[in-house]
Amino acid sequence: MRAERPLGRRGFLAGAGALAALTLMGCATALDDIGGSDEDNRNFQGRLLPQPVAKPDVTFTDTEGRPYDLRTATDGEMTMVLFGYTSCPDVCPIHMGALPPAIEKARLPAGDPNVVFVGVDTARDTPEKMREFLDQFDRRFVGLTATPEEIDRALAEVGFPPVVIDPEGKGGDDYSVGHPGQILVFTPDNLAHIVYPFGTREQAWAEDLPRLATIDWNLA
Amino acid sequence: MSWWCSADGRAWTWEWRPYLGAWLLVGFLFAVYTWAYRSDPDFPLRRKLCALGGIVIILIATDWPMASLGAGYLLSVQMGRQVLIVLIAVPLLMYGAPPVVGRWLDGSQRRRSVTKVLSNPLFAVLATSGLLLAVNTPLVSDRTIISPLGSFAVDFLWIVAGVLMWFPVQSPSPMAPRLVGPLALVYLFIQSIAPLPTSFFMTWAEYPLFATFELAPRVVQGFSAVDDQELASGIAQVLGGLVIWFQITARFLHWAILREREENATVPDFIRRADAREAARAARTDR
Repeated sequence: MRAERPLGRRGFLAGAGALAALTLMGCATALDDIGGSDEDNRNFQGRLLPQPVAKPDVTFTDTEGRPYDLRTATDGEMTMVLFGYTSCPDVCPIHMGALPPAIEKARLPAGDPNVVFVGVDTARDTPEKMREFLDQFDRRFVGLTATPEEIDRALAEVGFPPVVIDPEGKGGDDYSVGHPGQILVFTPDNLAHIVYPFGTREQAWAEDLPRLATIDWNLA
Repeated sequence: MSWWCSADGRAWTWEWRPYLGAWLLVGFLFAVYTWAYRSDPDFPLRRKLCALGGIVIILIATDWPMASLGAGYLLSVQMGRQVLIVLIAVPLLMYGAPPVVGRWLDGSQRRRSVTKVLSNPLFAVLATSGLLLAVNTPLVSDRTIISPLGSFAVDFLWIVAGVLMWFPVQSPSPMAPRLVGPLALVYLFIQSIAPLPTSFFMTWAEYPLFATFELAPRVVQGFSAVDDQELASGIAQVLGGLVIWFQITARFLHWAILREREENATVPDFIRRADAREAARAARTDR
């Protein structure tokens, strides 16, 4: 009969540790890098635009039904703009939801930035629905809408692709809308030098907003 | 149909989505336990029922809706799953483990060596804490629960952590040294406070720690990721602590009752000697 060697404690521990490590490593999937924090990105956690863009020259309509000229209403103020839709299941509510706590933690000396949500789903984004959607995040958020042509013109002016209504859903009320998922940040010079994609976390906002509020892009 | 839960990024719906892997797992456990009990018909029914309870809890924790919510939306539910699996299901399964498991563990010198290591309380505290800390760090959690295989690995490691934690006090092997009485209570007390540093991070963190849960579609509007994180910490500390303290209380009472019976069953020596002298005197008087 072959004598059995007792399993050493080290061998057992090594085997258990290897099993656990292999299990986790085999299942690990690298997360996409949300935004660079390298010198090319000036250590911002968003993505710098190749060329800064101006605010779109479009007169929208706010949730009170009043005309809203984005350029004059937010002149010289930091403004964050998202083109989305109120029936968006994930990107828009998550993106907007990260802003209030981040803005509160940023404690900007010049005051809170303007947050503007442009509803691109003109069929369903009524002023009432937009107000109800935005109020769950912050009552100070501005909701805007316009005609489909004006919205597409505004998107073109900031370099975003046009809105796409899901062709499979036409005719019913349950359809998805293709829209840019980035938030444009217009700094006090009225230009957007940086965008923040979906997946930007609250801490990233809280760290970047104070710098964006005071940065001199000519010197940076 | 997905075979296991994961963070798939879809908006939450209450549409029933069972996980095939969860049902296969509990079916396997049920079949194995039932088959193994046949070898020992006198095995107490209450232990069998405890094992059945453990299997049911495994199903609850690994199937829709709890697994879906925990793996993809709410850290608090994920922590609840961990408490259910590590602190409730696994000890029930070990308490109801068929005797054939214990005989198998004692069947070879190698396995007896393994059980000896697993029964060491210091090893158990370090291994359990280390494993749960490693699995629950954002770096690991965010990279694993986004796929069914990764999420299964996390759940499997929770089961392993549960076995490591309960082995010193609930070993299925009758030959393995088991902590009883005050030593078991001290051991469980230490296990109840070992995860506190991790929980404190979740309680006092200024920002959400886990990207998966921060960026998941909201299930309840107005319930932020930080709120969810704080609730998760509360579940780990309070609910998890209650479960362990329930065990401590139950074991203490059991030990105290047994000790009392022991004390009252034996006649002290000085009384036995006095009774013997009295009996001898009575015998001499009778003659």
